[in-house]
Amino acid sequence: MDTKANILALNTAITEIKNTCPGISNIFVLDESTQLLTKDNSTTEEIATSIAKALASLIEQTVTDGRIETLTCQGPDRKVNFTRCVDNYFVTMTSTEADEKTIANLTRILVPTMIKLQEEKGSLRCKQVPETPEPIKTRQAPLDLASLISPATEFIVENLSGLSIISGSPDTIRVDRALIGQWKEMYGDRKISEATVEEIATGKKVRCKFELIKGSKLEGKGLVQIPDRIQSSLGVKKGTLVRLRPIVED
Amino acid sequence: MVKRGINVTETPLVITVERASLGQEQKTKDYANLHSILKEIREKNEILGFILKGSAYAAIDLDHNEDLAKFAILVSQLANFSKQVLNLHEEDFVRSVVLEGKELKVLCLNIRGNEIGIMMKKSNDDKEILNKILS
Repeated sequence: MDTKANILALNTAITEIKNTCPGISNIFVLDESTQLLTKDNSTTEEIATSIAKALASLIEQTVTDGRIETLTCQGPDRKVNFTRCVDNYFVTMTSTEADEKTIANLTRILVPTMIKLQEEKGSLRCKQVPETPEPIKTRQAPLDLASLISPATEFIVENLSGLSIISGSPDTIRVDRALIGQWKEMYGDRKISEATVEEIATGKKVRCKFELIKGSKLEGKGLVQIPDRIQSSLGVKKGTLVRLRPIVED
Repeated sequence: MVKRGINVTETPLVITVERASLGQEQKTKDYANLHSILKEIREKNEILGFILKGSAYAAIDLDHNEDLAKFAILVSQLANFSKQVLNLHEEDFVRSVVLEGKELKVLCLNIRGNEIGIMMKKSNDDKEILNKILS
């Protein structure tokens, strides 16, 4: 599985773990060489990096085969747990009441499941083009039917702020060139000028226009740039996973 | 199965080192108390060994002599690591650290300046052992 898909799966997993265990205040994932892969919004890059460095040093100095299955450091009010799963370290900060065994078990069930789902989705997407049912033509309700049959793709929310917001509309999201290409490939000459953005956990949807992400830095990273107004109506913020579906017109 | 005795002389390796002059009566009492608790746990819970480092004494009691250096370093590294990690979250004190590997588990804690490291099989209940020490 490619890195983008892997990170998407990890992101979904950490969101689900955090939703299931409300005692978790922070969660992030380090790879085998303790590089930061992904983190939740409440974790700062600085803290994640400092912990990663400390873990790297511990592994290097003490564990010859590099196998730490779990590690729990408990302070008076909080605990920091490290759980190894699928060659990554899942780091969680919790209250002392939270049960680290539950978190470790949940991680070991959820993460492989999410990765497997992402893999299956990836392989389905490759086969999908000739097999996808044609969108049902209707004038009354193109949105609902399209959202039922259009393939959804998951992306990570990125802010659309600063100079970007001046050059774009506050009701327009920015998506990857590859995604637009994929939609064109699937729907041929059919007009697609709008898409639905869906918050995965709540199922809340917003219909909006879309345009290409500007600047190569954000291209190909599984990101969708969403203006603040749309983010607040969906109840999402930077780092949240959302689903995008094209609205195919007649 | 060979039954381990309570007497430290019956275990494969026991080292007791005097590290500083006596005179700290309470600390010595704490150390002695913890040492006897650990010896009891070693017998009853079939742990693989322990290390106890007080301000005046240190004791190491392990099944395998060759693990001594590795284990002492691991306990010390875990203590430093947990201090570093918890300090980042404004926790100024480390209650306990539990490290699980493929087959073994290490529990480290610090009680009134006495550093403790316990090596056990993964199947051992570290919470039960921790509660015994803290009780």
